[in-house]
Amino acid sequence: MAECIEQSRVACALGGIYTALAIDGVLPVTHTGPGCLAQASDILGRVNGGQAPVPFEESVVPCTDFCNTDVVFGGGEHLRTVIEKSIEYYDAKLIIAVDGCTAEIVGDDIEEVAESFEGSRIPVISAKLPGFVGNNLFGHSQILKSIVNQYLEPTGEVNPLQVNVFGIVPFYDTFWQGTLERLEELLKAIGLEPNIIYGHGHGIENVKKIPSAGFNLVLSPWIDLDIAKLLEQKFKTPFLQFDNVPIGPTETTKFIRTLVEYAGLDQVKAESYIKKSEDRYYYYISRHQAFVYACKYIPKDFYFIGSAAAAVSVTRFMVNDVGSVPLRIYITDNVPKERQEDVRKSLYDVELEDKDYEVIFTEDGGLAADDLKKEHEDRSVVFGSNWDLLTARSIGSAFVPVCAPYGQTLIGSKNYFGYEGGVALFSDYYAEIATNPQVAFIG
Amino acid sequence: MSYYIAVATSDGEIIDTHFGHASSFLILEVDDFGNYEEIEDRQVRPACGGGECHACAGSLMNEIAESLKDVDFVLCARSGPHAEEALRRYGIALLDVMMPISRAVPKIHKFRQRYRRNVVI
Ligand code: SF4
Repeated sequence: MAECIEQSRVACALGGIYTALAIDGVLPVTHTGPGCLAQASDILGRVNGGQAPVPFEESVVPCTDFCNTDVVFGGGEHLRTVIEKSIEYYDAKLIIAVDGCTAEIVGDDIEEVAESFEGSRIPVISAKLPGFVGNNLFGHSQILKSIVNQYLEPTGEVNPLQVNVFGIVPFYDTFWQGTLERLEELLKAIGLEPNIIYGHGHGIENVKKIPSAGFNLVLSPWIDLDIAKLLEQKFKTPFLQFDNVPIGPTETTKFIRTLVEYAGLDQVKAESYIKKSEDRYYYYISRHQAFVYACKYIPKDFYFIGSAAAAVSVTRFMVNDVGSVPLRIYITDNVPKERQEDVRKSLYDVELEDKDYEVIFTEDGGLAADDLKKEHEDRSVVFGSNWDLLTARSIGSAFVPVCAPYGQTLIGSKNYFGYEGGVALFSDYYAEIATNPQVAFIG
Repeated sequence: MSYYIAVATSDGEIIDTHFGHASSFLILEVDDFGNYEEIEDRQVRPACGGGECHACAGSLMNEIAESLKDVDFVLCARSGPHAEEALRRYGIALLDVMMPISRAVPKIHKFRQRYRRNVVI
């Protein structure tokens, strides 16, 4: 980790509770100081496209309000009381007791507390989320590991067509909800039975079905590979990794063909779906062609600052489908050293002859901003989070938000997934170029 | 070096009194090994005026804090933010905890040994 960071684009490990909150029926009970929750919501919740978890929004998440007395006397009993009351008052299906830094430092045994609720009306498990160990991606992994290790039971049967979807981190991937809905449609259309645990229309029942999947799909350059491996070990479920959430025709078609081959699906059906979708994509792009060429200035280059997952998705689409060239890519979510090479490979795996762009791993968003201010191509485009809006403005670049914190706006069901997502990103991109006075009508 | 703990208790055994209701605090002297003895029952004017709330943020809180300024910890069953603030100005930690004094003191001592560097929590 960097010694000190500016403009953080990640929350602390406690941000992992958003993964729990994204699963309908799961209630985290937090054994943390009173301010910890607010810290996470600043990156993942309301400042990230105005999102709040449903049905348990942040303000109703039970908290022990870990204070001085708990530090001196231990907070285990306090946590036990809060869990007891939560079982009494909340209509939850699963409770995950989580702790933050203070409880971990004084050494409260939350596992023991959770275990003591064996046989209670609502099952209780535990996950350790101390912020001094890692960021919200570490927290996300801790929550999923707890569910797999402490909650899942073998179902006894395997449905070869069922596929569990991993790799998309709810809330942190600002577009997660819309993406998962579209992804579910696509997987069904090519003959699979998707099992998605997060968001609208899904929940704890889907969690219980995880062990019966034919395979697990991991849609990311590295996130959730640990979970897929754990599931492989525990339930012998194989997994398929596709290194990004596909945007646009090139990547989505590749994605479908990969799945068809891996799962032995009906090729004819898949190809006809691809044909129909690609035709539709190019129809929409053609409608905008005249407008695009009327944009007097069309930037060639772009900068990216943000999560590894969004970086791969956006870079593939911008290079392979739009024909733009990355200049520098800053990955700001503390990819573990041993995974950086994989991410780097994914980022260079594009249809481009001269790949002379740089990929920089730093958690310090301020460093990226300083770098860009010092050295940049005029009138380029910056993809990033809300932090980068002002940087882009200050160097006279266009700006397209693609990752957390997305900004104080309402994200709705917006997403850039698939063929449709390609059209959406294409139009957002050119709309920004055409309307941003710094890059638009000067040339 | 010894340090002092003030306890709000009605029977000298259990920490059971609200900060604002206490008309006296039992003062304990704790030595380096965690042994303690009662050295005084220090009289104060109760901050909540015997149940009627009128002086919470006012001078009574400060008066009590002033009279406890030689202690490091005050233990009581319940307290509010004004009490905590008043005591914090004198570097005193106010902790709400309902348990026998004989259980509380060893925990405080252990905590103090762990965080020796004079932290004021
Ligand atoms: S880093 Fe620790 S103390 Fe800070 S918000 Fe996260 S859990 Fe709380």
